[in-house]
Amino acid sequence: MENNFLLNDELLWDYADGLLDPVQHQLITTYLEQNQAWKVRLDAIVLEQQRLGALPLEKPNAGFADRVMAAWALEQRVQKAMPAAPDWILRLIPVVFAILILLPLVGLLGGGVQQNIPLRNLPFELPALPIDAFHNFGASPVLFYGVLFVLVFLTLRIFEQFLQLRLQYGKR
Amino acid sequence: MLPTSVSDTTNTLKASYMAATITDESLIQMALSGRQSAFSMLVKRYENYVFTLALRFVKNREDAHEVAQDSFLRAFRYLPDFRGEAKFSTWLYRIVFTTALNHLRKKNPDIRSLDDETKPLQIPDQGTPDGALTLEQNDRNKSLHQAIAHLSVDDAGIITLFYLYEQSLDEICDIMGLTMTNAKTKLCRARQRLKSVLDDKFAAEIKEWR
Repeated sequence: MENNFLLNDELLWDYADGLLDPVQHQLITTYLEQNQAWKVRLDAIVLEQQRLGALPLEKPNAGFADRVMAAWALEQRVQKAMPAAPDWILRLIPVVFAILILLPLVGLLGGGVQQNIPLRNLPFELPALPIDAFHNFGASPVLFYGVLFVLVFLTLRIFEQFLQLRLQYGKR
Repeated sequence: MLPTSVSDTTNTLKASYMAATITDESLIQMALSGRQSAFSMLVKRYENYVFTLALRFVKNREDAHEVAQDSFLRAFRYLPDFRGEAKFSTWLYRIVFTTALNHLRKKNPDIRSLDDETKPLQIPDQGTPDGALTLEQNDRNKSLHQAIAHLSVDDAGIITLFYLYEQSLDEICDIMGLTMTNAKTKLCRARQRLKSVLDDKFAAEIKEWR
């Protein structure tokens, strides 16, 4: 049989490592049965593989396991000593976050409702929202972007605090 | 009643037998329920594997101790997140790989270079020779260890994981974050480089043991 599929050391290594697909594997098995020289080469590769696999493991210095356990015990002690965040903080942060985002939205929607749909028969009087003030607010770009910037900054800051607290205490 | 020394020996043997027969999964369950002895058994079971792998990556014993210890601590910290989808050893080796890379990046940001020949190289200490090993075997192992120590981080890692730790290519992909094609290519290249190092630097020794 001709070596018409370019059998080489790399292919033999892959064969010995079991990395070839079944068709290639079968092709090489058949070829090796008829070519003693390549069979000898395969045996040498298998021997090298066995040597690699039989290398003794390195050992850490004596007492390594004890040092790991001591470090682990210390870490657990520190973790236990850390005071847990009170629940009310964890609950308050998303509430404040929601209020900051939702309140202006509700205010704007409420303003829209008051402007377009007359609600005359309510048993109480709706407070008049400063719609004009909103218009003026939008008219001044410095004021508008200034307030927007402060709001975004505050929101992100609170969100960051929330994430930090979740990371620190959330898994308890 | 047995004399104390015999009793101690029996207890030690019993403990060793128990440690050897308990599966990783049982040890993890015990560790998660708060038993410190289970953590200790996991360390003892894997310390040589973790240390050897760390040494292959960072190339010197001092750093390897640090990486191995950090790896165990990280593994314990995230043990509740271990879902058993992969073998515990695969999960642990992935932690070792990540910890070693972080360690190397701290020291040298360009450490991922595959052809980095300038990295510090410390030939691993063979420790006390095992009585069962012949002198020839020791020499051969030493040459192989030294040749592997000459390889890059990725090459040494993939050779160690595949041949010494008998991890499948799938598991190696999981540990080193590679695709299957990439892992095959890297393994092939690592073998070629190892052969080249052995031929160039250890030709005399190889002739003797072939």
